[in-house]
Amino acid sequence: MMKIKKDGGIHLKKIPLTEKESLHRAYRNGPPPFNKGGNITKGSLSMRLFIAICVCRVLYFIGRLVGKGTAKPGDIARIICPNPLKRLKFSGKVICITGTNGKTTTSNMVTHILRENGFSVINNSFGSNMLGGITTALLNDCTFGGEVKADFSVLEIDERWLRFFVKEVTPDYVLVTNLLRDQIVRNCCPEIVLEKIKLGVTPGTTYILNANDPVSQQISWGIDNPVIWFALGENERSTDECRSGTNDAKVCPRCMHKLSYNYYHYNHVGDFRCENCGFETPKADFIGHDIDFEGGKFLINDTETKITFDATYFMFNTVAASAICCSAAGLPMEKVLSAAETFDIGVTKRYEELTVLGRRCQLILTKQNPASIDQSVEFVTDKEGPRTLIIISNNMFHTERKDVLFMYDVAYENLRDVEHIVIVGKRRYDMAVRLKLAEINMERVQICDREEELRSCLEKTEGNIYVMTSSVFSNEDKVLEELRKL
Amino acid sequence: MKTVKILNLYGEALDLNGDGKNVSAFEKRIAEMGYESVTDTLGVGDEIDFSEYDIVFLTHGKPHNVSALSADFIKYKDSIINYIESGKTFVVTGSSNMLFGKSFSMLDGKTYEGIGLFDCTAEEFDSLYVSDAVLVPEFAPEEKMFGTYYRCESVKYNTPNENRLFRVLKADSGKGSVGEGEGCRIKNLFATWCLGPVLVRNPLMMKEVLHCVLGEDYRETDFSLEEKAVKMIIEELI
Repeated sequence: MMKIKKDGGIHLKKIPLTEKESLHRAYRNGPPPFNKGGNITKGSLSMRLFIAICVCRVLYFIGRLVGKGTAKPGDIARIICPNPLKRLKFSGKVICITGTNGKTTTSNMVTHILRENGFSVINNSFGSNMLGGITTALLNDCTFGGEVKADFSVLEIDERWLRFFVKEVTPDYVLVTNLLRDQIVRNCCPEIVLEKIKLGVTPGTTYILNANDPVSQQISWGIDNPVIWFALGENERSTDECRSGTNDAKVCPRCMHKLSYNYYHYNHVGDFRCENCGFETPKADFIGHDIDFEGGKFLINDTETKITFDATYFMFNTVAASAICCSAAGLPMEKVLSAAETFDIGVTKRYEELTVLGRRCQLILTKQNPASIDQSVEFVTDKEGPRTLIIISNNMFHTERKDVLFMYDVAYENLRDVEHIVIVGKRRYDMAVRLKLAEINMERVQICDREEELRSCLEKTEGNIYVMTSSVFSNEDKVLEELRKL
Repeated sequence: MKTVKILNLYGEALDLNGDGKNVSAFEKRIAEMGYESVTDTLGVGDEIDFSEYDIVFLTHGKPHNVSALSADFIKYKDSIINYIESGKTFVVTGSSNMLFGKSFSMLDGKTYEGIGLFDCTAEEFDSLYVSDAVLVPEFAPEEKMFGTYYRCESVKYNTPNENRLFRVLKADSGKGSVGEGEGCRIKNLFATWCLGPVLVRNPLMMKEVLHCVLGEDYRETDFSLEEKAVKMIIEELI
């Protein structure tokens, strides 16, 4: 049985405010006047809000008929009635869930758990997690009088947009799943996102933070808000060395000396300590421990639950969701976990299966962020051989830029034992260069110059086929279309 | 057997967007040529003797980390300048260039000192300049390279940059853009605002750096895959 480190260490001492943090504090305490979540709004209901609600609902209805996005109705409502969320009356608590990875799963799980326990919940699971999409969700679910009559509003929010949302509504709880390297065109590095989140710190909000993440832990620096920590204990999949392609906390964020890890879960998420200044994993209030992968169960704060989806990040999501539900709804852990066990992650959407050339073919949808791709790599390497991996390598999403730097932050080195690799897409040669640097045996690698050649490439391979793709975001990608024909 | 000593300076604090892979790729080329290499990754808290090394890498990092390291870097000002003056090879990518200027100021309002080798100052801004670029290296003016910029710093030269490393053939305009000339070459110092795996993806620059380090000991290795990949990008861009 694995050794469990239940107590991650001691609480950090209060750290003096830096100049920058003082600025944040000044911002928080000054105008604009915030509307306290959970209380009746101070703003009066205006005709503009009524019109905005009506227009938003009509546009949303039309949008659904023609399959359009969910952000536009909210965006237009915001033009009709500036700051509409500020004018809403929330009869229940507002929970915001943000972070790099896992926010959709966690917010859906929180919603499921609360509903299973008899609470009314509204959420924005149907669409955009930016201000327009959230506005659409709330205006669709409020009364025409502007009242949000739900016990909980569980809102997944893009990590860069939280600071704008809190200008209109003060959340009761903000959960940050993790802060990892993601979409460098937008975010540059996790610390830039960290700064954006810190700009949105509001008095009275309780923060639920990942104790194993030294980057998002910095949200707690210099603030007076209550903080609840969640963590995952050491388990048989924990590693002494970072096996991911990136580690954004090789050095201590406070003093720049080397950060030591007792173990890693993935990327920079693990149990850490700086020997120079004492920065370390805080003691967790909610911790997943005694993880028994073979038996399919683990404990959260000594209460047993099933492992319904066998992935470390999913266990983190479960612990985080439990932390929210116990804290915000006052539910006992037994009830929370009983409901969590019936949550459907929607595996079929992320791991769709096809039959290609009479062989089992599994599509693995990834985001263009290193942590997400590392998890997909791990998914493939965990499978029994022989395996054929198709990597679709295209330009950057949205921008079509050709830098594809993110592939150098992925640990493709872990693919060395995969028997066959086929690369296809606009950046196929760049991927081949990356695999060569990763010391993949290039005799196992085929570069497929045209989608039509996929059949002949695959005929030279054997075993189950795995397709690492992000092509749901790329209209010009014909690879999946071609595969479905085979 | 010849052994090449490599210093990956602040390699643990400055490794954003695959910049550290430049060091790995360099090590592999050295091995392919039949030589050995030893890499030291040193940072704050270590005592560094630059004269021990054949090549130093100082790669792109997070703005916060670059500013936090400046006080430590300044300690080595004379050693670094002597190292460069002696003709040894130094490769600098991305935001670490700020450490070589006169000073740089960050969004927190603080100004940090550089070692002043480049007659420029930099200022962090609250957005990101992103561009693919086609570059013509001054060391091979008939050839082209591919570069990538992600900058949240604008750079102002006090005197014209006469030691540029690249002529910029194509790049996007906007706040933070690099202008017509980019980077700096002083003896065997290669400093570019391009970031990421610059050497991995540009055989031209990798060969030039290898030549500088190895001199007559340079041996040919197979760059055909890398050349095909970069050629494809450049053709798409121009």
